Order: sequence, then structure tokens, then C-alpha cells
Amino acid sequence: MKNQGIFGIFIVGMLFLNACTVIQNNGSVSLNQSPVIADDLYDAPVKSNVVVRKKTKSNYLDFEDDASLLDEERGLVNRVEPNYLNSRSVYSNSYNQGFSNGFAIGSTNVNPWNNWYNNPYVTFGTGFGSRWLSPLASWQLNDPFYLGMGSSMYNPMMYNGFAYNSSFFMNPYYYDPFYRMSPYYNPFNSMYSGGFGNSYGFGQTNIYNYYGGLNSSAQVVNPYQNDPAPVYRRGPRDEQMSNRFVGDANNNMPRGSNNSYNVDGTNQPRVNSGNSNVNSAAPAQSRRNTNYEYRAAPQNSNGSQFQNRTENYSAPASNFGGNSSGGSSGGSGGGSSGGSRGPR
Amino acid sequence: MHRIILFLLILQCHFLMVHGQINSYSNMAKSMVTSYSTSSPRMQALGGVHGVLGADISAISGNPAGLGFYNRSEVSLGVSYLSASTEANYLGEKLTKSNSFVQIPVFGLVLGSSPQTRGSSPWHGSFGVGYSRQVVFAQPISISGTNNRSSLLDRFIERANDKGATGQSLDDEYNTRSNYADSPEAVAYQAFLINPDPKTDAAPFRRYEPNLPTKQIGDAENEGALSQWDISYGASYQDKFYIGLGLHFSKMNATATTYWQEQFVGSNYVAGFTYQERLVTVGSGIGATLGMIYKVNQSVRVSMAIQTPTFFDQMNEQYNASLTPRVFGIPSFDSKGNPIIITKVNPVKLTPNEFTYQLTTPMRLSGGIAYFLGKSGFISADLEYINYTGSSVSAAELSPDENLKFQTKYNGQTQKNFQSAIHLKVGTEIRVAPSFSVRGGLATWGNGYATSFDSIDRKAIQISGGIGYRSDQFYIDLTAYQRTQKDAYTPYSLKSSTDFSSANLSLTNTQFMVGVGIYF
Repeated sequence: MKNQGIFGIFIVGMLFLNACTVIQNNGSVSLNQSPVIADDLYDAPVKSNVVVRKKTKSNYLDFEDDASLLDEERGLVNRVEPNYLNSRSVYSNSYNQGFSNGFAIGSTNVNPWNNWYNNPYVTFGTGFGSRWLSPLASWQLNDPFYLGMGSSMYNPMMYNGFAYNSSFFMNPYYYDPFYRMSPYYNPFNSMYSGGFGNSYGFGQTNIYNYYGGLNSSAQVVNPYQNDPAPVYRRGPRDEQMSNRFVGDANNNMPRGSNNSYNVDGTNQPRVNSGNSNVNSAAPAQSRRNTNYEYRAAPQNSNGSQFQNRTENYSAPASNFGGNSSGGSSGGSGGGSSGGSRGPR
Repeated sequence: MHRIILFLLILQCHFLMVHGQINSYSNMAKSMVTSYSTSSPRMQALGGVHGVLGADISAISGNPAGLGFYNRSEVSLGVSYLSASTEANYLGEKLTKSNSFVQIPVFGLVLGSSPQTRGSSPWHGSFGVGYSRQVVFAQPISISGTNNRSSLLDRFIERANDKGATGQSLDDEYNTRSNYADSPEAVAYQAFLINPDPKTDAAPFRRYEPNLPTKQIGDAENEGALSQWDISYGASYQDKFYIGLGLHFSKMNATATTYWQEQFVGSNYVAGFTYQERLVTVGSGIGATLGMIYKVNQSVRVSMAIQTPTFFDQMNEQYNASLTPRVFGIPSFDSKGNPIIITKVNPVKLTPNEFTYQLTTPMRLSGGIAYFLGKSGFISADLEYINYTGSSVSAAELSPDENLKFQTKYNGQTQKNFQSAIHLKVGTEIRVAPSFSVRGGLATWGNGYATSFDSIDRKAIQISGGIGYRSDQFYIDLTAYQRTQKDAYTPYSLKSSTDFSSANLSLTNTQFMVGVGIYF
């Protein structure tokens, strides 16, 4: 109902706007007397009056092969745009000058944008800086750059004030290229004596959650590992659905897919002799599922633990049975709980 | 300014998901290739005719040759209000359920060229990109009746008996930690709704008081649609012959939920239960369309288009179900063997099922003809041919042997249950004033089901009408249509067809559409 209301308001708004914007039309004017609004579905395009000369020859470095272009470049063509500016001529010098200035300044001054240890995305060739952007998964301990780096004096990260062992890199907001890297390949992991491993806690590179971090004594744990593993079955679902086709693959009988129509259903009360004894409700065997509520079964005077309830039922009114008395007398037949069920 | 306000007014409409019905793998392929509402409001008013007309955003997803008619650029948006209702007749009881919502079935952008900017080349063309909802699953189902013959539990009992289950084997299918059981019969067993023979703890399984009548209530609700992003180019040769190519990137996103409730009238032990099933299907596919339009003369146009099968490489689905029993009191034993009365059983879930398969829809051929009354109007017709047996499924994740079995089973059902069908659409437009047009259309979609499938004629019939206002800068189209169709729904099946029943469905779809476009 809400949608109908919204749509009604929308339609009214449309009609209102339409009434405001519609050009006044005289309904008595015939199509022959007034121009029809252009509609590409009906109308063939109007040809241009401008004659465009077809280029017949185009030789490289033959500047005479396109006269109209040359005339424009020579300024022989009257321009209708007096404020037209050639971007190539106007802006190119400014850009070049800006680039030149920036390059000169950046070559002699350090700033966060041109400094590789401040900006991990700045790389220089194949040197150390490029290591920051190399695919982490492909890094191996036998990478030539790190071979023989056991001595810390050759380790640029051990003696650099901005390297990993400094307080600078304890900033949790810093980009960590080795975050959650496999400890075996992590050069800062002490467990496997990686190239930069030491005992100062550099193996803990998980600095992005509350379960541990650099120089933290907390264990680095996966907070999700204790969740129960999702259980799924894979395969065609129709093997599980209740309304699947029955029978062989190409056998459409008996019909029973949820989109087919079964004309054989009788809905006549069935005499289910095979299930008749279940009315006595033999105690159900215990299941593996214990997710239920229960109460102790009352003892009967005759000593039996379960009393079979006498079902007191008369067929309900239906289109088939013709019994107008219908309905059920509920649980008045007795049983352990007694009484009837339902709202009082 | 007015145009901006108009667009803002349209865009503030809420976009809601839609409802429908998804069936088995073979039926799903059939559902996904039967497109009812795919064109602009203007073309919908014409019964969906758009293959031969051109110069409409419907050409982006339909016959891309129609883009060659454009002499300018256009951006367009369609908004519709769709009401879907289903009248179900199950076991002599009629029940109607309807659903209505606002959706955006189509929008697009066409970049065309003005005749003044074209050179002397006989060729010119337009590029279009757009979005369209190809299939809207729009039909809710609600059935109700008193079943004197069977219960859904009988279906579970048959399954348990067929596989020779025992109480122990069904216990083994149950995981106490996750509360999952691997099969519906195991779910029913763990819910204390079915029991094996008390002496042998094996088949035959039984349920409590099976001779009692069962009040059954079923609801099927689906959400989602098969939508499509289209990139097309249409070219014109001397404004007489038009040819176009379109690429279609389809996205399937559907959620089907069914609720099945049973109440055992007069029962002393089990009051009833609710069985809920949920199927989520997500997939993406790709297809292409090649189309042509030819102006025989100023009055007659003919067209032809061929749409390749859409190949869905990854149809991912997840299926789960849960059973919630309602009991009065079930005698049983606790873990120590003491007699107890179970007064409440918490829901038991079916182990979720995941599956990825590949789906290929059949090829579509269409042709059209239009006759123009000068610039005063036209009458047009489209004919579409689909051989539904051409759809197929496979599953690369299965082993070669299992994949072959999967294909044999469901492609065999496709071959057996479906046939080719012809969809016919006829529409006319009359320009009653320089800026105003009135439109009308009639469309019919063929059955598509083989006569051996069942006795229901599922042919759909649609009548439509609309008006349009058009200026040199923008246009507004208003459209309404109603479509009716017959179908069936069988909540569950049993070995003996006399034991279960189907519901007759009368489907009605009514849609009001507003289309707005701006030229630039």
C-alpha cells in the first residue's frame, strides 16, 4: 500500500510537471499544418550542407594533401572563436617549467613524496627500494640481494633510523609489506632466522588488530580460527530438495516437479494400515539430537510408563468428505497431559 | 530546470527487489531465457515490439542495428510499478497472493552523431550502453488446503525407506555441534517426526497418526532478477541498411524461499511443523546479438536478429533448509533410559549445499516488419523463435563421470519436457498531435513445455497501451500492460501420484511504466 501511495504521488508529480513544461499545442492543428517534432524513429537524417572534400591522397610529409588544415594553421581561416587558445602553445611551457622546477627541487631536497623510506611506493631501479613493491609472495630467502646479509652492518634496515627496528615503524599506521606474510619467508621473523630476524619481537608483524603486534608479548593468533569450520555439501541440490523429480533421469512419471501439474491426486482419506500401530505412539528411541525440552513421564496407576491416548477424532469438513460436523475434540481423549490445547 | 527536477523526482523512487519462482536446473534455464519485460516504456506500450523500429534505447539490448537510426545522443530512464498476483487452487481451496513494487527495468545512454557533423561517408553509427532487466522473478505463490491423503513427512519417509536407513544411520548423519543433518529424512528423524520400526530400528519408517487430515499452508517467495549490461554499436549505410552488434553481460541474482507448514488436525503427539527451504543463486554470463534492419522503402522496414546463447560460466548456488517441529508431547527416553515426554524440539537444520555449474541458454532468432503511415504512425510486428531444448547444464567441478551423469539427467529432462516456442508481438503507434502519440500492443509468448509434460497451457498473453509526449529536447512515455498466464506448483511428490496434489496457478502481472529521455 505504501508503494501505491508513492507511485500515486509520483504520477501526480509527473502530470504536474508535464502540465508546466508542455508547449502549448493547438489540438485543432493538423499534422500537415505544423511541423512534427523530430523523432529519429520516423525521420531520415537531414544531410549536411557543408561540402567535405574527400581526401584522395595522403602521403607522409606531404603538407599539401590537406588544404583546409593548412589554411587553418596558416591563419587564413577566419576563426569564429575569438577566445580560442591553443593548449599546446599556451600550457606546454608552463608544464615544462613546472616539471623542471619540481625535478630540480626534488633532486636536492627530501620530502615525503620523493623519499623511498617515507613513501614505500617510490622505487629506484632494481635496488633496495624496488624490494618494497616486489610481489611479496615471490620473495625467497635465496634472493641474491639478501644473501650474505647476516652481518647487521650491511643491513640497511638495522642501522637506519627509519628502518623496522626503530620506533618509527612501530607506528601501526605504517604500511607493512610483510604483514601476515608466511613466517618462513618473512625476513623479520626470528623463528626461522630470516635475513633480518632477531630476538626483539620482529616475528610479530601483526600490528593491525588487538591480538598482538610489534614488540608485543601477546600471541599472534587468528581470531577466527576457533570458529567452527563451515560445513557444506557440494553437488546438485535436487538430491536434497523435497520436491525434486522422482524416478529415473528421463522419466517424468509420476509427475511431481514443483512446476508440473499432477492430475492424479485424489485427496481421499487413506487407510494406512502400515502406520496404524503408530497411533499408539510407541516411545521414540533416543536420538543423537538432544536439543529439546522434556519432562519426566508420569507413572500410571497400572504401572505402565506410557499411556496410550485414545484418539478422539472426527473427520473435518472438507470439499471432499461431505462431513459437516468436522473438527477435532482436541486432546480430550486423555493422555498424560490431559485437557485441550489452544487459546483458552 | 524542469528536466532536472523531473529526473530527481524519478530517481527518488525506491528500488525494490522482486519475487518469482525458481525450479530445477532444467526449468531454471527455461525461466532465464523467457524475457517478458525488456524494452523501454514506449516499446512496452507497443507490446514489446522493438526489433525493427530503431532509434530507441531498447536497441541496446535488443536489435543493435536500431542504433543506426540515431541522429543525436540520448540518455533515457524507465521506472515501473509492477504488481504481480497469483491465484492458487490447491485441494479445492483458493488463495490469492499479490506483490507490488517499484523497479527500474531499463536505462541507457546513446551517443549518436548529428547529420551536420558527418562527412560524405555513406556510413554513420551510434554507440549505446545500457542496463536492462531481462527476467524479473515476479510471482509470489501462496497455497492452502486440507490434505486427507499425505504429508510432506511421507516424502521423507519414502526417502528413508528407499535408502534402507536405520535409526543409527540417520543418527550418523547428524552433527551435534552444528545441528546439521545431511538429508531431509535425517532432519525429520532428529526432529522426532518420523520413527523407524521400534523392534528393528530400521525401515519401514512411520510418522505419528498418519490417518489424520493435514492442514497445509505453503508460501513461495523469491527475490531477484536476471539483469544485463549491454554495450552495442549500430551503423547505417546510406540510411537504408542498418547493422549492429551488441555484447551482453548478464548477472543472475535470485533468492528463493519456500515455507511449508503443516498442522495435524486432532493430533495428540505432533501438532505440526514448518519446513523452510532457501536457495540463493548467483551467476554471470555473456552473450552477443547481431542484428540487421533494412528499409525496403519509406514505408516498409524489415529486420532480423540473432542472439547467441548466453553462457553462464559460474552459476553458484547455496541451498539450506530447516525443520521446526511443534509437538504436544512425544514419549521417549533420556540418555539414562528414563521415560520422558518431549514437549519441545528445537529446529533442526539441513546441511547447507553448495554447487557451481555452467548453464547455457538457447539461441534466439527474431524477425520483424513495420509499415509506416508517413510520419503519422506505424504498425509493427516482431516474431521470436526459441528452441528451449537447446539449453544445457554441466558441472566442471564434478568428476567426469559425475558430470556426465549430471548432464544426462538434467539435459535429458530439458529435452523431454520442453519444446520450441514462438513469441509474437504486434503494436501500433499513432501521432495524434505533433507532440503526442497513442500506442497499443498485443503480445503472446508460446508455451515452451512439451505436451507430454502436463496438461497446462502456459501460453502468456499481454495487452498494453500508452501515450507519449515528445519535444525536440526530451520525451515522456506512460505505459500500462497486463499479462496473464497459467502455471502449476507441486509442493512435494510421492511415489504414487494419487497421494499428492498440485496447485493450479493463475498468474497476473500488471505494470505501469514511465519513461523519460533527454536528447543532447
